[in-house]
Formats: sequence, C-alpha cells, structure tokens
Amino acid sequence: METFELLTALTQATGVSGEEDHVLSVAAELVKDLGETSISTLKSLICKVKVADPSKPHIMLNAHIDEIGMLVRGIDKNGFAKIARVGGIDRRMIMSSPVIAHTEEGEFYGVVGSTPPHLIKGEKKNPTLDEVYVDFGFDSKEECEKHIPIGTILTFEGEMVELKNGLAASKAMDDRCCCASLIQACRLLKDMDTDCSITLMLSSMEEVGGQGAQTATYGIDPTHAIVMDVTFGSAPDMSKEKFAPIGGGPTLSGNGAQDSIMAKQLMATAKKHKLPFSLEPSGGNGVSGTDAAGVVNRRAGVRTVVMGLPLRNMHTPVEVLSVADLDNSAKLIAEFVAEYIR
Amino acid sequence: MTTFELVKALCDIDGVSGAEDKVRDYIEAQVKDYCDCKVDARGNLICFKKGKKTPAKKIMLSAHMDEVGFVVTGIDDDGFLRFSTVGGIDSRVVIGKRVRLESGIPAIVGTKPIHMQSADEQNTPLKISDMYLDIGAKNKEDALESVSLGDTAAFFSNTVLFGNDRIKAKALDDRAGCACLIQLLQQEAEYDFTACFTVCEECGKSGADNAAYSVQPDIAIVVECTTAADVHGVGELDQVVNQGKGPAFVLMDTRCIYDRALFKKGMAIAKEHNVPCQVKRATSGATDAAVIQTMGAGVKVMGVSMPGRYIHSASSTLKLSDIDATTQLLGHLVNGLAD
Repeated sequence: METFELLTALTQATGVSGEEDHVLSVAAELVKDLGETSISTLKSLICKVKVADPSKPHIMLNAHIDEIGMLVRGIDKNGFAKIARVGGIDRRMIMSSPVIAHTEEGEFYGVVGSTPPHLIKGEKKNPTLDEVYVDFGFDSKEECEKHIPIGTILTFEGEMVELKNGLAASKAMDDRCCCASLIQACRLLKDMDTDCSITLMLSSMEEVGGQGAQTATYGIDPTHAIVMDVTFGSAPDMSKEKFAPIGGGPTLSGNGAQDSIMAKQLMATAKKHKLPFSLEPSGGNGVSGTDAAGVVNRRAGVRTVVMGLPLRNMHTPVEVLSVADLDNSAKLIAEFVAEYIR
Repeated sequence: MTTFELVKALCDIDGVSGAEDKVRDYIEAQVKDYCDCKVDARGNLICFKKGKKTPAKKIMLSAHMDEVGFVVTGIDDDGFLRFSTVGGIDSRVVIGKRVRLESGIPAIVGTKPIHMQSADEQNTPLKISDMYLDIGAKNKEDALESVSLGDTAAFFSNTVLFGNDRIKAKALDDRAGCACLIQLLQQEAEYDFTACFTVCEECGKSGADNAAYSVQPDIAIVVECTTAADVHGVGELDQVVNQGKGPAFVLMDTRCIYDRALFKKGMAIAKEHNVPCQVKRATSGATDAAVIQTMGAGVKVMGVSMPGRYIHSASSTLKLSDIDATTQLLGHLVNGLAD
C-alpha cells in the first residue's frame, strides 16, 4: 500500500485517547500480514514483526495511535451540548468548527458555537472550552440525549487534503503519520537481513499521559526502542532556527534521556544512505514530551531514541506534513535496525 | 431537485464578492427555461417572470449571490500567502480552517501550535494580518505558479444534513435566498415579478441598486439570511430570530427602515395563508434593502430573513423547513401585494 493511502486510512479512523477501538481495528487490519498481532490491557496494538532468538536484541518501534478530541459532558434544555477536552485542544480555532460525535448508533454532525458576536460586551476573546457548546441541530434536550448520550466522544472533521509538493493536511496526523511510517519501516524490514526481534507497538493514551506506551513496553520487554512522534515544523510565525523544516526528513537528537549512541548510529545511517534528517531543534529537560518518557525507564531500562516528524499546526484538524518525510523515516529506521541492532 | 439538493449545489460553488460568475452561471442554467434572463453591467442576474396577470405595482425580489471570503494580498519568500477578508468575518472563525482558492486548489489557514502559545496568545484573537495561507509551496516562485495576487478564496465546507431537518454549509447567506427565488421562478406565477440575483452585498452593497435601476420596481422584497442567536446561554429577548419559526420580517436595521405598511401587510398575508413567520427582534446588520430603497425616486422595501446560525463562517446552519416556508411566503407575497 502506498504511504499516502496508508496515512489516509489511519488519520480518517477515529481513536480519541481512551477510546481507540476503531483506529485499532483499522490498524490491525493494515498490519495483519506483518506478524502476530494483539491488543494490550490498556489498548495498544502490538505486532510481532520478527521474532529472533531471546539472546538477540529486541527493538520496539513505537508511535501513538490515539488522537485529541472532546467528550460531551452535559446537554442543556434546548439540546445544546457542553463539552470537555480530551488532550490539548487549541481553543483559538474551535469557533464554528464542524465536529463529529461517535455513538453506537452512528455518527452525528455538530457545529461548535459560542456567544454571537453582537452580544459580546467589551473586547473579543477566544472562548474557553467551558464557554462554547456543540449544536447538533436538535430542538430539545430529549431529542439530543436520545442520540448523543453523556460521555459521547467527539472529533473534529478533518479530511485528508493534498497540498502542493507532496504536502498533505488532515486531522490526527499527530501521531498516525508516525504509525504509517513505522508500518512502512516494518514492511521493509520484513524482507531485509536482520538479526534481532522487531515489535511494532502503536500506543494508546499518549495525549493524556502516556499510560498506553508505559504498560505495553513492560509487557514487550524490549532492549531497544525507537519512539517516533511529531515535532514542530517551521512556519511563518515560528523562527526557522528553532523549528525543523517540513520535507527535510525526520529530526534526531542525542540530548536528554535519549540514547546518544543510537542517535549517532541513526545519523551515520542517514549519511551512508543519503537520507535527509535535521537536528531536533527543541531542547530537552531530561524527560521527553513523548511516549519515550514511559518507555525508557521500563523494567531495568530500555535504550531509547526519539525520532521527530516535522508538522505544522499541531493539534488542529489541519496538521500539515510532507509525505516524503514518512518514506525517508521508514527507510532510515529499516537500514539502522538491519545494520546496528544485532 | 429537493430544497436540500438545490441549496447544497449553490453553497458548494465559490462566489466571493466580486467573483460571483460561477454562481450566476449555475442559477441562470436553473431558471432560463422559466423566465427572461439578462446580466447587467455589474454582473447582477435579472430574471423577469411572466405571470398570468400584470400587477398594478411592479414587484422585485432580490437575493445576493456573493459570499464572504478572502483575497490574497501578498506572498512571502517561503511561499506562504497573506490575505485580507472580503466582507465581515470574525477572525476567530478563520484560524485552523481550510479554504479553496479561486484556482480550485486547497489552502490551510495555519497557526502556531498550542504548545508554543502564551496564555495571552490563547486569550487574544489573532488578527487576520497575522495569519497566512499554506498551499504547500516551496517558495514565492513556486507559489506564484498556483496563485496570483488578488485571487479570492472561499471557506471550504462539507455541506451536510444534520440534526433535526438542518443543513450545515458555507455561504447559506445568501444562497438559501437564491434557492427560494430559483424555486419561485420555476413555478407558474399568477402575477408578473422580477427576481434579481445580486453581486457585492457582503462588500459595500454596491450591486443591488444597479439591478433595481433596471427593474424600476414599486416594491422590493429583499430575501436574506440573518443571525439567529437562539443558542446556548442567550436570553429569550436577545435571541433575534429562532430556527424553525419561519422567515422573519424586518422592522429596521443599521442602514434602513423598512416600509411599515408593507411590514404589516406581509405579516397579515403570512397569517392568512398559515405560513409560519416571525419578527426580527434586533436592529443590527444591513441588507441590500438600504441601497434599493434610495434608488431613483425611491422604492418601498420589505425585508424577509431566514434564521441562520453561525453565518459568515464555514459552518452556517439553517432549518430546511424555514427555507421552504420562505419560498411559500414569497409566492403569497407576490400575489398579495400585486394590487
């Protein structure tokens, strides 16, 4: 399957943190030919891509499969729903956003509303999540509650759209793009000469604390791990010095809690195979802001390196990236694993 | 064609003020077999419908074809586009949305990620002048292959049916009004009338008076979409109009006092024919009535507005029953005001 198709299938599936079931079933179908798959206690997808002798190293390739979203926490007498966030919703862009409620009955469309502009007293502000509501187009509390029970999960509408030069925008690129890249890496590794166990782990609940990766890693018990997550791509309102170029390959860094030897080996692999990468521009304080924080210190410790995928407009329904960066990341990971994890 | 199908077809076309051509072409194709059409110098589409009788008073109906949107005003060295708004758009409904450029290519209104925002940045609405459109261009030269300065862009929106009998789309203001006039033109008429599909309402209201000059009506009915504030947290007296209660007659707005006698007669006609209607309970906004009223020696104007929520955004909504009631009402008004 082409990377773009894979990315589309994954991003368009639904899987807000804690309720990843739909995207897990989509992903499980996409990787079923790669190896034996299972779902962990906290709903992370585990796929045994290669199983080597236990004396050999065991590398885990991880990206998170959950996405940010919202949930319905109450419905007023006229059928308007109040919402709570699941993960870091950017409230600056929430007004008039179309949302989709996912219920057992099916999908319901809604629009995020706020106080009409002519009724605002004083200066306009970006409303907080508590100040907005979702209009599902129903005329009463009873009518709305019948279809949208309290606790219903909401996602932003965010279809895949192709931009120029192989760039694309969609909801949930964070972090399904890295899921797609790792799946492609596993496909390459399947046909390569390797001498280690390889497990793909797509974790739940990264956006709400990383509980999925932490517990799945304990069960997998790897010796090495590559944690792939999105990083900040350069844009007009972000200085080029501080943010990674879109289309410049993944970011690598040896700082913080990362394994600097693995990072250097990845850089050497990139140079050897003429694959692009850039240095991760955001510094660390010793604890990764990704699932790596819960991976590196499992059991007696896991040698862990983080790869970043540059992305614009993070945590919006229009997250922009370069599809070529996914392919280049996949090649880099595959070549690195084949050469160094032995 | 159902009302939903017609409104969807109209809303899915882009026609930012001054660039209404594709909307006009579509409307003309829908009505040309039912009336005499002409396009004036400004781009207004003027459709004369021959009825069984010629009324004592000449009646004009109008709805505007244009929608609010954006215009490209600059391209930076990295290929990002700067833009201005065309018509009144709250900057808060622009960020993080998708738009479609005049050439048909998609663009994203980009923003700094939440992780990088200060508390002040989260609270204070970003200005349009600080936003940019991202088409994926490598640099300025690459962007110029797809875009020219002055190109318009419209909100992108999937038009859907949702909830109880509602439609969500961009540009319901005023394509829903256009839909009502199209449906009226497609029916047999008792009396002659002229339906005008006007340009540039959202930006200067500069088209409708030219159309009115050609028509020289005695009475003009302006069919619009207005803000229904019947939403969460708004008291009953501030709700302006309510979805599901039919079209609203307008008393006055910021630029026009509508003819009082016509207002009363309109309400009476609606009541006589059991068509639901309401009164717009605010004097905000402005419509093409302002410029039609003062055309030539003056025209008596009536305002009929549909209750839309979140208008001037990518996700405006209307209740389909309100659109159908408006078409019905307009038919009765043409007949009732003829003598």
